Amino acid sequence: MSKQHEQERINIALAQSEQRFRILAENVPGVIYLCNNDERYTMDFINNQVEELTGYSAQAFLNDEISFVELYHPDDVAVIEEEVGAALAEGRSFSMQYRIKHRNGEWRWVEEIGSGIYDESGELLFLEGILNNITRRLEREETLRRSQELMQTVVNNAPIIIFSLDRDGTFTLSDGKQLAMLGLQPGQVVGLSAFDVYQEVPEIVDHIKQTLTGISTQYETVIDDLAFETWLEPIYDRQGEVDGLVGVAVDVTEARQVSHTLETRLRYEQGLSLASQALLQPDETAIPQTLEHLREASNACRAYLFEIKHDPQEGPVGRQLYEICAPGVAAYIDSMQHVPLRAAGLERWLEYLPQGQPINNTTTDMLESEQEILITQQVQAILLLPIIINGQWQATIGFDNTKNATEWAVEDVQLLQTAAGMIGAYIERQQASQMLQARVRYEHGLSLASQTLLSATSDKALSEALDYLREATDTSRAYFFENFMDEELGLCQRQLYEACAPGVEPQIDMPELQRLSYEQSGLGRWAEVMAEGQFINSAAADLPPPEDEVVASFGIKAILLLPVFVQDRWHGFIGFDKIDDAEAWSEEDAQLLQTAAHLFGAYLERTRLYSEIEGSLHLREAQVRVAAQAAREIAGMPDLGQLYERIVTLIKEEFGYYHVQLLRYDPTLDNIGLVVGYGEVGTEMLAMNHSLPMGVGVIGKAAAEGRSVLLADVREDPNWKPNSLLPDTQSELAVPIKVGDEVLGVIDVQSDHLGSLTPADQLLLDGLCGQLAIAIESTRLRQDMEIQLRELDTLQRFMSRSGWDTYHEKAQRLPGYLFHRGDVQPLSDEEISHTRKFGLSGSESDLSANGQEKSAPRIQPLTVRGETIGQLVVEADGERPLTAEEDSFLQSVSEQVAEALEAARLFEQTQVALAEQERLSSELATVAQVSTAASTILEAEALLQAAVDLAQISFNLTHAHIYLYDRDNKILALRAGAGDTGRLMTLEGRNLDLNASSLVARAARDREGALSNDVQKTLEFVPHPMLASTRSELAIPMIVGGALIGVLDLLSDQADRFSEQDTGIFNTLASQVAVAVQNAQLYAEQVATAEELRKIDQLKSEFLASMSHELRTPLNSIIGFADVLLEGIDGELNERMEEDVRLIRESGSHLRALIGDILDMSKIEAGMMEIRHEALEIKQLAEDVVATAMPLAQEKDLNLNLEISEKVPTIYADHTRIRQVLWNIVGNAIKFTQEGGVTMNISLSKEDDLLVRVADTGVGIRKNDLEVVFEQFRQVGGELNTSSSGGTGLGLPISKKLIELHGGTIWVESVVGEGTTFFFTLPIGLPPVNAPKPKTGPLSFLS
Amino acid sequence: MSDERKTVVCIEDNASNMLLVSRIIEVEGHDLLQAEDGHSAIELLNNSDPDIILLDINIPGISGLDLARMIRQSERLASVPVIATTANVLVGDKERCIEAGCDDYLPKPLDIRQLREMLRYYLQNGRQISS
Repeated sequence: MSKQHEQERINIALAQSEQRFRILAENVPGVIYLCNNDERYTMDFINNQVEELTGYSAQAFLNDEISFVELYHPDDVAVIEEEVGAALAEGRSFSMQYRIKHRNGEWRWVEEIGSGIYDESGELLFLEGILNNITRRLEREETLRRSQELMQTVVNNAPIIIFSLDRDGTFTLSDGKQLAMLGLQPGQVVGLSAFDVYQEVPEIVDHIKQTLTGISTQYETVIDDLAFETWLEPIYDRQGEVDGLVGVAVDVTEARQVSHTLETRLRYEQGLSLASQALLQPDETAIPQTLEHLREASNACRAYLFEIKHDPQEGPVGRQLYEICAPGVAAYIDSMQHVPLRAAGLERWLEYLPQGQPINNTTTDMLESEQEILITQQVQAILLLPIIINGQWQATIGFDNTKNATEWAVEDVQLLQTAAGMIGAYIERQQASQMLQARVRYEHGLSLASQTLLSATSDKALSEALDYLREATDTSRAYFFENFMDEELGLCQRQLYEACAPGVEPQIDMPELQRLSYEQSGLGRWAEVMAEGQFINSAAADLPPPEDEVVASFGIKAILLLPVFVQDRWHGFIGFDKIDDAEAWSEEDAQLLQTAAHLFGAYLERTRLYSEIEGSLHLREAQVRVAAQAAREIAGMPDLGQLYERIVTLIKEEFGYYHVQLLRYDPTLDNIGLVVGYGEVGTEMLAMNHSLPMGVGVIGKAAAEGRSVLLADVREDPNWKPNSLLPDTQSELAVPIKVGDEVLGVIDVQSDHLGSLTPADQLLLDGLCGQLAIAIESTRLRQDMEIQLRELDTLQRFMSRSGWDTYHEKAQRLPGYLFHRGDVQPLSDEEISHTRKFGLSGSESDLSANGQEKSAPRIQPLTVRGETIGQLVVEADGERPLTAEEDSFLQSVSEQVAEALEAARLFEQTQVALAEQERLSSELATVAQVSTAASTILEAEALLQAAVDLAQISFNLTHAHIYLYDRDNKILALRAGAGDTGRLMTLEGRNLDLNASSLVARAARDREGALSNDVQKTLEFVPHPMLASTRSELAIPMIVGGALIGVLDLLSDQADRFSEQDTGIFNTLASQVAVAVQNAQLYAEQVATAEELRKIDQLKSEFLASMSHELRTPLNSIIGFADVLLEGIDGELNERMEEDVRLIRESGSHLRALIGDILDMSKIEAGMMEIRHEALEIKQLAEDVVATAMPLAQEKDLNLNLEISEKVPTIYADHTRIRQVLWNIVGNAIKFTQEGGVTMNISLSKEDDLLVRVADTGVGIRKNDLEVVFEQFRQVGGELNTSSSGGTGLGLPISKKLIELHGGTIWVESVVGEGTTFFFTLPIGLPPVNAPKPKTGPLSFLS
Repeated sequence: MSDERKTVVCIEDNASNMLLVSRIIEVEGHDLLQAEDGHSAIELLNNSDPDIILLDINIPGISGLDLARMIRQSERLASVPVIATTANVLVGDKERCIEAGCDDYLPKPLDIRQLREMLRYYLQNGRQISS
């Protein structure tokens, strides 16, 4: 069969082929197979290579012990079946890769390529194919891929960029990374020209071009925030021509950042370190320097410091104190002087900063309300750091970034916060130090002000004290206001003194401050508060309206007003202004200053007292002088008219009133009329017959009421009528001139100053009017006497019945005589009455009518000029009637008798009158003499004694007393008696009750003379055993200005000693003495007041002493604790701290020395300085002082020598005090000597006193100043001013007092430019009786 | 010997002076017992064992001088040094203090160097009882 044949052929072919195949198959590396297309792919052929691939032998496959199907990786089965199925179906060869499992368990990748073998009919016979182990290849490929990936990763991730350009600059390779920044994608760049790509960066283009010429190039670029370092290397072709370049760029951004951060950190650290050093600067540059360092460190454009004050109304208010700007950055400090945060809308500030949290924002992140300020100041970012001191936000430091809107890094903020803390600590330290210094300054200032006020003698002291206080308080102004009543505005204030800080505008000249009404200017509350003794202490803004505006209108930010009281009455205030600081004073400061206000009050009170006393002394002096003058002139003044004129002139010229006039009461018209007016006005008014009805006007009222009328302001009296001749009258005083209760007239004075007439003037004129009344009375008496004398003359020629009546009355009985047979006898009373029966009419019928038994006697009347003055009765003997002759004789005799009698009467009466007048006039002269003598005696006892002695002698009295009235006890006390008896009685003491039954008491009660001319008949007479002979007594009250002063009591051993006229004269005497007594009493009061003042002065010294002690106590603490610090007890101080503390200690010591000196001075002044007389080796003491002073001298390169005479013995003096004196003088000498030296020489003076000389070669003292070097509070200027020599000014005055207390003397001689020598002597002295033994012992710390 | 911790009694009514003294005592390394007036001083002295006594002469209650005399009469305290302090620098003050039994005298204001020196001296040497 063909089939067989075919089979055979095939078999042959096959055999051949098989042979070939086998050879091939055995020699190829792969697995060749021929298998059936059954499920297990049973092998017809497989070469031996399969064993290596699978671990199973070819035979095993051929025997179907193993099949590839068993070895397939489960994941790959589907792939294999699909590929084979598909390939067979499509009639193509299949190709696939899959994994098989090696017998040892390993998976192996194989690649299989195969195809089907078909018979001619196209039926699939076998599958044949080749398997290659591709595990290695795949591994290699994987490795390559991995390494490529790695490379890519490296290239992509490493900061390296690789690119290449061809010679034309076209990118041939680029990872493109660096192109990202140009907005290009990797790959996009390939094929582009680098010159185009880098068009915008010409430097890179230049670098590329340079490299393309064959020069390697390296450069750095920063684009956006990335920094690159790029290396370009040229590439050469085979011919050595540049064919392009390779570029490698490294991203150095991070490195740069690291180094930048490092730099920043370094800068910050350096800045902070510099800042902390700057804060140690002692001066004001500390903070600005710190800010500058911080600004530089933080790279800010501005750095500044805001001070934050907490205003009760506005809340926190910022004020920029310092601003530091980078060059070219605008400053805004001037517009940031008052930033009320709330009102400015800085809400975030308020939210964060007080909590201690910083603000670190770009402007755009801030609140809209906050942006405005920031934008104005070109701020793009801001950093604000609060400074919290004592829990309170007190300041803020700030930094502006005006360049870009970048906030500060957190670490930077932390660093700057540290700096803010340092500044805070600095401010705190400053504040503490300022407080301490302020305290020292305060106490110093107060002490100086106290000294000034306590030792003040003029108002200049007030200005000085204000100066001290202002300096002490460091305020802008200090001032003193005084209250006064203004008639329009009510209670007003006016500024009297002011002290201003340099550069502060004085306000004292502002007219509104001279008359500022409390009520109307809205300061009524102040008046209430201060009148209560409270002070006002407030920031202007805190005052209630409208006070705040009033204060603000004077540019005042804070004000302290301390009331000043004088005599417990609110007198005014001292005040302090701050014009650039709105912080009120601390309660403590205000209290301290209140003591200054008290001192002001005390000073004013003292001055007021002084001036009052001085004024009253002047007044008294003038009064006494004018009174004495008036008394003298009155004595010689013949007529009242002249007296009046003299008095008016005296008053006008002595006291300088505007107008003076004297008016007299006219009893006939019952009005008061002008007698004398001063000057032309007076003459003019007199010409007009100026008069006033009683009770009308000031004068009329004074006259009618018998008391002085004072109108301080004439306008106050609606009834006051102006006088056109006296247009300027503002006040008026009318004083009555009185004798007893009778008003003689009025002295009227007028002033052209409102209120210038005072009760003092009234007192003065009252006294004068008393004198004047006496003068008028005396003159009137004298004039009356003269009139009487004239009348007497006429009596010689004129006889009247009344004359005889008077005569008879005086005789008190009708004299009659009986002639009987040559015997003349006076008629008995009986006979007279008998005779009287016949009457005096001379009518005979009367006699007859009486029906006498006897023949009627002949009665012949005695007539003178038709007036019967008596009768001649003739009784005839027996019954014989008288003859006509006898009758005619009788007639003639009666006429002669009448004439003779008339002549006799006239003679007698004239003699009596003359004698009486003579007596009166002599008594008047005596009164004048007594008054004149008395009015010049100012010592009351002496005056009274003189008055009674003079009265007794001059009036030839047995005795004279003066009782003075004790108003309080209502008794009359015997104060002076004439002669030895009187003195004895006065010594024994004798008091009369005002109501006692006694002439003296009656006179005092009734205010009129009480007279008894026969004391035995007077019940009221109180007999005194020493004055038994008294027969008459006259007691006259002594009255001045309506007040009872006492009683003048006159006694005589004659009955009827005192006539009515005597009463008038003695009244005058009593008035004179009364005025003199009052003067003397006033004088005594003044002496007492002066004594009181001396006591006040002593109180002052005692106060000063205790004040000094009080001041020293806190100072001792200051010094003590400063020492503690300096000793390092509280830890080491740095140099600066030590310097500060030393300064505090030195200031404290200086202040203490000052106070010590004041204490010494006040001790001396108060008489409390005790001097101890102890044995003193002056040589040892002097050596000691010189040794102590030596360092001072050496510091100034001066010689300091001591020369002591061998003869100097031990002296007895106060060791401490003499040491103090030596130290003062030597210290002074060194202080005022610039070159040369100081020599102390101790020897014995000629008087054998110790003589100490301290000579220097210093500036010398001017002659004028030599006298004052020992005065208090003086330091003679010379070439060195006082401030530089820094003494208390008390050293020399104290030395002087101490030497004088020792009984020595101190003096100085000096030649300006050559030197000064101080000398003092000390008595050698004696050891005190109980001299303490000098202490001896092994060791003593006793100095 | 001076390294030992001693007990110092300070009788002083002024608070700031007391504070100053307490600093010195502290830095000198001793213990301080304080009394502000005469009566509390007696109580304190009765209940303590001082090595030295600083005594302000002007204290309220019993006078410092009386207190000094009482200390000298007490058997237990007779040998304790007493340093008087006072602001009185009047004639005779020092003598009165010594007479009352004080060993030494420090004027006020206190000089802290002097105080330290004196403390050291007396703490080391005790009383210098003169015959």
